[in-house]
Amino acid sequence: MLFFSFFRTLVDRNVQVTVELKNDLCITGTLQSADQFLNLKLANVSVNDPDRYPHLLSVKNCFIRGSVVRYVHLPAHEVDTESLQDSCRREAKQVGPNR
Amino acid sequence: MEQPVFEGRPGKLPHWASNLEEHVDKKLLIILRDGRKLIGWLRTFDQFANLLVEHIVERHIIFEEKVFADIYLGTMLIRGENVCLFGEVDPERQDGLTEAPLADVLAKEAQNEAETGPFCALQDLVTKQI
Repeated sequence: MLFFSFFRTLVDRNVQVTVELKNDLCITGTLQSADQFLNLKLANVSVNDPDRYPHLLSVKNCFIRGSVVRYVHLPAHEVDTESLQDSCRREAKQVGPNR
Repeated sequence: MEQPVFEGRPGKLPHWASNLEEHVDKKLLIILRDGRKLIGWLRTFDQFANLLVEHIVERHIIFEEKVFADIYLGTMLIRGENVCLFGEVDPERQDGLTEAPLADVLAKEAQNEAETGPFCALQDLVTKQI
């Protein structure tokens, strides 16, 4: 649930991200929503690399299935790594040392 | 017997499931894992992003020549695991493509595949240093 919560904070802050898919397509847009499967919804999608752009010329918003995502490129200044590390430690404690 | 997915919240999707309700009865461009582009009207969906879509056309696009051709497929249930992404087609956004005869577009597409296909893996090895 950690990254689901993390994405939700990014959604609240209307962060712009670039999603790189497993088939090498790259889509940039504003994070609109995320769910438990890390499916993503991007608003105002645009092209940054024409070779890797899937002809989304007439599409403004899109839904991306979480299972096809390779990377989500984030702006470094939007990521609070310390807070993430704390959350990670807390989750690890909840789950317990035996897992 | 598995718990019904939406039990306990009648009329509302669970908070963890992406709300695809807003896309129902809208015209979508759906991109599949194999690169196919389908355009159709979304009617129903589920938590796996299985989609029931009506009036589907499979659009073949030759980007270099700015042409496309459609194959009408009718009504289909698309298994969610094959879906890469989809987006609502915005009628005001012109994509600058003109329709061309299907045979020509498919021939050009086959030509492009022949040129790039067999060497793609090799190129990847070189450029991505796998």
